[in-house]
Amino acid sequence: MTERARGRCIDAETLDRHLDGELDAPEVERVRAHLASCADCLEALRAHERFRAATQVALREAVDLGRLEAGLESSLRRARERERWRVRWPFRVALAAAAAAALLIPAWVLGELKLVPGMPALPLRIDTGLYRNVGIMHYFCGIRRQVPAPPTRVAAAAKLERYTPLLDEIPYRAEGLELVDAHVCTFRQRGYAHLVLRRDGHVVSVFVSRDAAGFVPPLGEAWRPPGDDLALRRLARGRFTFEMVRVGAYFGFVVSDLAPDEERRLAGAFAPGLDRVLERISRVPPSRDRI
Amino acid sequence: MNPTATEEFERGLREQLPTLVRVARRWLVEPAGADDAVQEACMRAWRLRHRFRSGTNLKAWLLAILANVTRESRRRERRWRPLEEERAQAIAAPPEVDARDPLALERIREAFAQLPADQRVVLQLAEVEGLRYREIAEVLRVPIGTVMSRLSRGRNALRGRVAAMLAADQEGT
Repeated sequence: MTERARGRCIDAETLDRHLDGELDAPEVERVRAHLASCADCLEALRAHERFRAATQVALREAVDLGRLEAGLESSLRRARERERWRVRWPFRVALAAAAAAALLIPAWVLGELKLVPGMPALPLRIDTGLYRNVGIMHYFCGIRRQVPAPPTRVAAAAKLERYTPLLDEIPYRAEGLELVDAHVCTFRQRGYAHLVLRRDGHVVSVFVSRDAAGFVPPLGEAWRPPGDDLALRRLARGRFTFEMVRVGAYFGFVVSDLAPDEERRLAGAFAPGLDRVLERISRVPPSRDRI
Repeated sequence: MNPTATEEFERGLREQLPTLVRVARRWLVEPAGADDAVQEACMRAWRLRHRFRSGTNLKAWLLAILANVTRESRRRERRWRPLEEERAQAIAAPPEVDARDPLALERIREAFAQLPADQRVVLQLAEVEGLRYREIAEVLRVPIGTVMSRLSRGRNALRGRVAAMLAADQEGT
């Protein structure tokens, strides 16, 4: 008597799952053991396999892919092209921007540097570079007091162009000096006109102000900076020489790292025009360079 | 995805094209509709190729996309042939057929075409394309029990119809 007869045979669904490879290991073992001893179930399994083979042959028909493949290739080509463009366009924009920058930046730099023919190359922030190089007084005036340095060389040149005609009364050109900065200094209501001149590696500052009682000592007396003016105290202790001149209601002083005799000579040469310089400069309308 | 990976993906896509077409035709009665669905699925897969994890089953992944496309297509166009679900019944033993007999093969195709679309697809995926139940469940986004029941009903119906057709053929001869 077979196992089917004893009611322990394998049903069709289990045979299918066995052929599908979806039985777990114990079930597979049981099925195999049963098939080894049951001719009916083994024959049923063979019938399942034959029908399945026929079904696979019947349903695995050859598919004509001609039209589909051609359509797909065409679609893929278009998709690739679109994607390539999507990938490339930021790169192209960046490239265009770089090219524009490559053209514009040198033009801007050249314009900045060469706007005024013959003007010597100066640091971009004129006050900063200049003052830092020469010492505490210049540094103080230009940086600590937050005198707004011209933002660009163009602005610096324009500023000097505005100031230069006002300084005709001072024979600085005749002394081989060039004007590199000028501003009106209102720190603590001083009202200085501060001119920065340069000759070779030396820097000469010329300050002009109206007389102020108690601040400017009579000519010939030893000058001591006021107690609250730390900058001038530093100046007095520093390596810069200091020469004061007075013209009527105006006074001026020249600060430089020149030899004292040379500085005194310069101060004497500038003194006659100081009053007119200050008068002219005081009429400069308020602006960024007149603080 | 770098160009080499894309080329490899496209190669795999082309290799799976016959499978996709066969399965699509089990879902959609009109061959043209099936081809459109396959093309749409392929392009969708290509666009989403960066999501495919290399080393996993590309066939199952593509079939899942095809299933989505087909589902949308069926919802949109209602072109599939409405057939009644076969009632569950005792699993029939398969009729005796020879895979070299053209008539038997034709009867299998006829009987298969009369099955509900859901059963056709599950049968195609399991018996012809060789997917595991779990993979079929993922492709169709149905529970694995649903796969098994559709498969069982589909096989039963197919065997019953083929047996009836072959019997009728024999009676007619």
